[in-house]
Amino acid sequence: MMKTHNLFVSCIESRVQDQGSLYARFHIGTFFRGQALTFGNSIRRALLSEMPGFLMTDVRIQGATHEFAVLPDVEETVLEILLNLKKTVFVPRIPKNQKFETFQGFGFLKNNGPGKVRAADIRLPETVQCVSPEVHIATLTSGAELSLRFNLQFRNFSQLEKREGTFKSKTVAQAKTEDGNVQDTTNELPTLEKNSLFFQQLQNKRNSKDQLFLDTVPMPVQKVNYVIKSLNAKNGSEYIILEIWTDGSLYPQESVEFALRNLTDLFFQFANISKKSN
Amino acid sequence: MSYKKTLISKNFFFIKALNCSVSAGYVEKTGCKLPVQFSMEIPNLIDVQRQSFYSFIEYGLKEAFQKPLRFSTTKHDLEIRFFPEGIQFRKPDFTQKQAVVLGKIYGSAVYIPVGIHSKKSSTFRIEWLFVGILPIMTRQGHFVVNGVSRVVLHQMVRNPGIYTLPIHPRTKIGTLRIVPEKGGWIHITVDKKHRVWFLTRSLRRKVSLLIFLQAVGIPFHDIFLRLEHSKILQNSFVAELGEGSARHDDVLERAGLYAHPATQEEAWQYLYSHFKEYSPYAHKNLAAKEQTAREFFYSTLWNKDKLILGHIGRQQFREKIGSIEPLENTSLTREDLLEATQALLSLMHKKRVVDEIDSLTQKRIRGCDEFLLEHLATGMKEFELFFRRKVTFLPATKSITGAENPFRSLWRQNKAVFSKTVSKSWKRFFTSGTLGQFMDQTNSLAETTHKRRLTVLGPGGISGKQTTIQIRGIHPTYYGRLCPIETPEGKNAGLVNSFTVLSVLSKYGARTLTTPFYQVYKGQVQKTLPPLRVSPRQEYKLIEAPADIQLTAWNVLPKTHLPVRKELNFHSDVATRITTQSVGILQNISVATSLIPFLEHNDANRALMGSNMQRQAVPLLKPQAPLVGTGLESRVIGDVNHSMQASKTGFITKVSSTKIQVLSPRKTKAQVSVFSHVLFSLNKKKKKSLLNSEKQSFSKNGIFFIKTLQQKSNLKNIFFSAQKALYQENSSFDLKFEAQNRLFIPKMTFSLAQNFSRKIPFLSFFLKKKKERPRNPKKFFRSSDSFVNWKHKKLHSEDFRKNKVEITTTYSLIQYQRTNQSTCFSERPILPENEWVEKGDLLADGASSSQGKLSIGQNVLVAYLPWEGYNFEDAILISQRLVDQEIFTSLHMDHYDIAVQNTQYGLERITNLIPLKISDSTRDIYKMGNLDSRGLVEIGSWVEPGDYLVGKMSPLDPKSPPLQSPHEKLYNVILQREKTSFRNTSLRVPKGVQGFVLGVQILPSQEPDVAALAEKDEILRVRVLLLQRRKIQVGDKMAGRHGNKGIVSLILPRQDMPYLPDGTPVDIVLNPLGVPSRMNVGQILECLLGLAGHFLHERYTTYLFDEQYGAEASRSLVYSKLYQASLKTRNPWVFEPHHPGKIRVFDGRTGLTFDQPITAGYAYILKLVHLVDDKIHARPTGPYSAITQQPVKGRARNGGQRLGEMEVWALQAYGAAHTLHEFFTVKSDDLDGRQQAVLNIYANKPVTTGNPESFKLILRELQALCFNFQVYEKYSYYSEYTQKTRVSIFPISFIKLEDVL
Repeated sequence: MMKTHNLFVSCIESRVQDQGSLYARFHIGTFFRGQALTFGNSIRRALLSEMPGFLMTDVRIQGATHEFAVLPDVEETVLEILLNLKKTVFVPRIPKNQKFETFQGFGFLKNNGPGKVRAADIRLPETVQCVSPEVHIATLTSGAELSLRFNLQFRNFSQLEKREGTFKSKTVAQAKTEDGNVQDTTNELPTLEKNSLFFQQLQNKRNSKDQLFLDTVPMPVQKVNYVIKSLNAKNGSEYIILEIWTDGSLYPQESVEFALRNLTDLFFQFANISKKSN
Repeated sequence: MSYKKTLISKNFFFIKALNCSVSAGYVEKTGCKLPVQFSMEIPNLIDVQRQSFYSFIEYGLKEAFQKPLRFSTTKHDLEIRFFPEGIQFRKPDFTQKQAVVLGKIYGSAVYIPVGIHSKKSSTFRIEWLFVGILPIMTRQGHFVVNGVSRVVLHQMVRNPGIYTLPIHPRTKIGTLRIVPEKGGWIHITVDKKHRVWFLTRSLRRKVSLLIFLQAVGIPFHDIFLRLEHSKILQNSFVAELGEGSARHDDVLERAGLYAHPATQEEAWQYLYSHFKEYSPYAHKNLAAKEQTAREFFYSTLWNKDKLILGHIGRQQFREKIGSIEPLENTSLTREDLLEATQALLSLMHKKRVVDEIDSLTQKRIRGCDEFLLEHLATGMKEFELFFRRKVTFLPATKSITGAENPFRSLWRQNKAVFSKTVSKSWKRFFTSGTLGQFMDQTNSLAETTHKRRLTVLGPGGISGKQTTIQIRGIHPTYYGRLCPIETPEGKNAGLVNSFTVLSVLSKYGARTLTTPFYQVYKGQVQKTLPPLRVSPRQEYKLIEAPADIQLTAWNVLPKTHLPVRKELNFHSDVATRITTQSVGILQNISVATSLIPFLEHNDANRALMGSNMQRQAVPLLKPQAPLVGTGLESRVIGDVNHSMQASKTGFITKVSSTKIQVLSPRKTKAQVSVFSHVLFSLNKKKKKSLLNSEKQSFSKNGIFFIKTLQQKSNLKNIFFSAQKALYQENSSFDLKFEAQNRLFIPKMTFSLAQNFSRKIPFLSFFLKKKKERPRNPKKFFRSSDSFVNWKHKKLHSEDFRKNKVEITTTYSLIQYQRTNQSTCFSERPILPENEWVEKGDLLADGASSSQGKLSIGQNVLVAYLPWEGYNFEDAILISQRLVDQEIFTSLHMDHYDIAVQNTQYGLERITNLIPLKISDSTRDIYKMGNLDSRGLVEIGSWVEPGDYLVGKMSPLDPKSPPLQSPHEKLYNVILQREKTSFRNTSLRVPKGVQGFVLGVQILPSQEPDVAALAEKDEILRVRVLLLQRRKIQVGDKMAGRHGNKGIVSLILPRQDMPYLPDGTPVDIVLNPLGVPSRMNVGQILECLLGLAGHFLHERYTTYLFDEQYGAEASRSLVYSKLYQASLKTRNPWVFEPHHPGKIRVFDGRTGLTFDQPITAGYAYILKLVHLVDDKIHARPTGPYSAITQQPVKGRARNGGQRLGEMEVWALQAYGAAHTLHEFFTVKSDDLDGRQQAVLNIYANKPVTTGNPESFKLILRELQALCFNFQVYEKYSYYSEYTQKTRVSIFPISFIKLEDVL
């Protein structure tokens, strides 16, 4: 088997599309016959499914006790505002020593009408940046006041699988899992002290009432396409043209790196195991 | 908005001129220039309903009061005369919204002036009579009765008149049928022996027509002289005594005859005798006097009051058999009978054409006006009977003593009953019966089509049993009037129809459907003239050219032979002889059908499903208008008022999610002054009238009329008519006037009539914004004081002085309102602040509209390929994207009611102090966590099955021994709960339901005794509104607009979905095998044009049946657009000539292309109301039917699935003995076994079963198959089988059920 020495990953084109979306085209090679498909398909699937996302988990809007509330003098209902917020994209600026997965962020917004509120109006800490400033959030009329606060969190793909199906308040489930005792108390009487778990639960539920949960699904990579081209018909070597569209939260280059690392990790783990079992 | 015109080669495809306007990023393209496609030509879609109601108010209501009520005995009499010109309406007590929330009627009280008068007394009194509460049609064309929106369907019934039935092919019996408007049918038939018979229900058996004619008073010689072919009638002489049957002899004998009756008197005798012979009730042996025979004849057989043809019937008689009676004569006459006989005779001589029963010419459309009138009449009749009974039971003594007519006091006491009977009758019509229906509000289209529906069922129509295939069929007269496509599937197919878009009901009276045709003069189509409105009968005289004939520039028809429609058939004729031309395709199809793009490429059956399923589409969270439309989308929304349009030109000053404010200038200064002038003059008049009241008014104790400005003339009329009546009846009258405005003056001034002066008849309170109508008479006339005050205020207010002449109009938007089908309706503003709007501009969208266009689905990327069997048999495979991005998410709202009841031991109470049971777990207690201090659930909380919505306690017998055990008592003491002689009857969330509490409405109690007993601020009835958002999930039903429907079978992550050459994953994968056998190719064309539209950022409005612009017009349009798209995007794969419309698609899992190119594109896909969440159901155990002791049916009752015969065979075939055993015992009617089983499971013992009937059945079945098979009882699980059987069916042998199978 002949070994190719000329491996290359080169970015041929990159540009900013509308609404902060980023596009880049890479040429990746050289592959032996058939390997390009293995590589291309794996990386497409990895890019589409395994990218972690930094997303909004919950919002508190002043004056809205639930997601179907209506705010005075605001053109949109709370539900529409939430749907708009889901469209915003944030990028963390992670300090070098901090781990990617544990990073948490928040943001808030306070605007008085009249005027349109865009994602650019969101106040963010130094560590978070909004890359979709043009996203429309709400239209305020004179006298309107919109003030909201939200939390941002990292979600990688394994966490995504477990996410809740609806917008519903998760406090019940959370409270239960926080302390395993609750689940087994089916036939016990609740203890009656003020600070007992039962009251805590009620308290939690009350407090979290104005907390509106978003079930945002991050889609950092919007679209991936690859085309296999032959490089040298004689020895059957190939290369692929990889096109990536991201939502702006990460550069296509980053996403490729991440996907490759992820895939490598995956394969490497199995390589290790198989080595041991042998 | 930018307009530009592009000219594209005429021959290539059909778009002649493209009218482009950019909206929402898409360029709108219209594919036609025909005027009919434009909405202004289309009559308002809801006007069918509105006009019906209007004609009731205008004509029907008045017609009902034409005849006075008369009551008389020998001593006294009373006449109640109505003055229908003076009918007044009170403003509805509730607004439409309030009526819905409170569960009341949206209706107004109707009052009519009546004159009470008796012959003997000289007084004539005029007073107001409360007629009843009339449910009022809303602006949207429906009614609100008991808080529920209801629609009155139109009904198609047979016209009264005369019908020639076809001669029976085998028996050669010819029949003529006379169908009167009132009274029984009459058949005149000729039998095999050419005897002519007369049949009617009251005579029971056929009788010789000759005798009947004689009885009517036509002598023999007249009959034979006047009728042509009268020879046949000679066969109809009845047999002489002794020659006929024994029964006939009896008849003759009783009549005192020996042969055929000779005179009219004898004929009466004969008929009476005949009746007696065949009637089961009459005494047979009594011989009849001449008097009784005569009376019998004129009361039951030939009663002028009972046999009424009506105007239409008379018309028919004149047209069909040449009756010479005047139109006013509405009853059946002897001449009619003679002419009918003549018609029958000529039918026998084949000189008469048979009538087509199912033709629209023979039918009439009845709308809500006729039904309301009918029910008003029955209500009045009921009252009349009631009052008549009162009159007859009036004690005789009273009448002598009192100077006053006792009838009058009786009337005074009982007139309230009048309104009760009438109101009840009206209400009954809406709530029960087939015509007043629960409105289909799933989306705007559903509402529109429901109001445009026509049925032949219902009272006076056809019942389910009488339906023949012919009735269900499409008759040629339906052309342009009823849609040949839209009708339900199943048992109502063809019995329920839809009006076509352009059909219009003719005016009050005849009520036929008309359809427009262009007039053609010497071969030139007169397109500038208004089209002719043609009724089915007129159509016979016309020669109609089809709409799709290419005309010259001068609108002249080509000089060749053209296909035409002549006498409802296909013919061909030259242009000069053509009288009319069809208007266009919208003439032929209903609204829902017209919304299907490329309809002409679909099989009619699928088009039917398509139009029906569009009605079932759920409004989605983010509505999207279709990429490929047909042009009627905006009319559907606009005409049912599901979008908000500006009622005045102005400037938008405020936009929020709940209201929009528009500031508009008042028209001119001059108008303002004119207005104030009118007010002044009115005021003067009023003062004058107050001064001169003693002379002017005419009512003694009654009410002083106050009229609105518009009604002054009306008032005059009533004065005159009333006075005329007075002068005629008695010359001396003196009337005193008491200016007592006590009854209903403030309310009375509300008038319907003022609104009818308008061209489009709907009532002023249909208009939402009555607040800003300063002319609201209510304000002016509350009392003279307030009137002055108002004027004063107005004159001295700053605005008025400075002539600041602008008005602010506030439009309130609906947010989250429940519809009848539990979908959610809300309105979203679409214009920003500081925008100038013209009258009629769109301000807000409804639930199923975007930019004022009907939007019931989403444009998604569809590919047609089989995918691992997941789209086998119409299943649908969808992408996770549709879930994550909430593309097919819909909102659903439901309400749950609970009311406080009055029990034996006192009222129930709504509270949060719910008695706990000792067995309640933390979880149970936790379920109450959402209740507030009043016992109501908190708004905004998320609730799941079993959670408390409203806490309620029912008192138990206080004397009965407490149910609590000592430790329970202790527990309650610790918890500081009251002694619980209460039962928990709280409202809890039912199984399978979860959602947000959107609202808690506290409503007044419906039961008067509860309201009386309760304390002042007690909560008596509560309604909890739950709102949920449902994402698309496996099991939901989805469909396109072409009848392509399916169930979601799998949701794939996007990386697994097939993807286009540019990497875009497909959203939905449909099975290509769903297309060829269903023949709905429209979906393919739509999908491809959608793809082009997606790339070109265009939206298309296609013209249905575009083939008239050239062969393969649709296909060439789609191809050319795709080609354009491929050029624009520089993607050659969008249009490849080798496989046009097909794309090489890659498999997301492997990265390889599929074997063959695949059709992919953007289609408009709907999510239908059939959601799994509402259907999914499982039952481990549950209720059993009381009679059969088998599980009950239905999900709502937590029922079980029937295990039928074939299921049993399947289990037998697999030897599933234990399963079968269980099904036949504990899961069936084994009552004891069921109870025992529970105990045994608790005690951890094996489950034993009994020997129920269903089990015996299977034993017998097996024995019938020659299995020697018995059952034995075991004493205990471990002991041996014994021979001692508890229920021995058969002798002994040691076979277990398991062994046999």
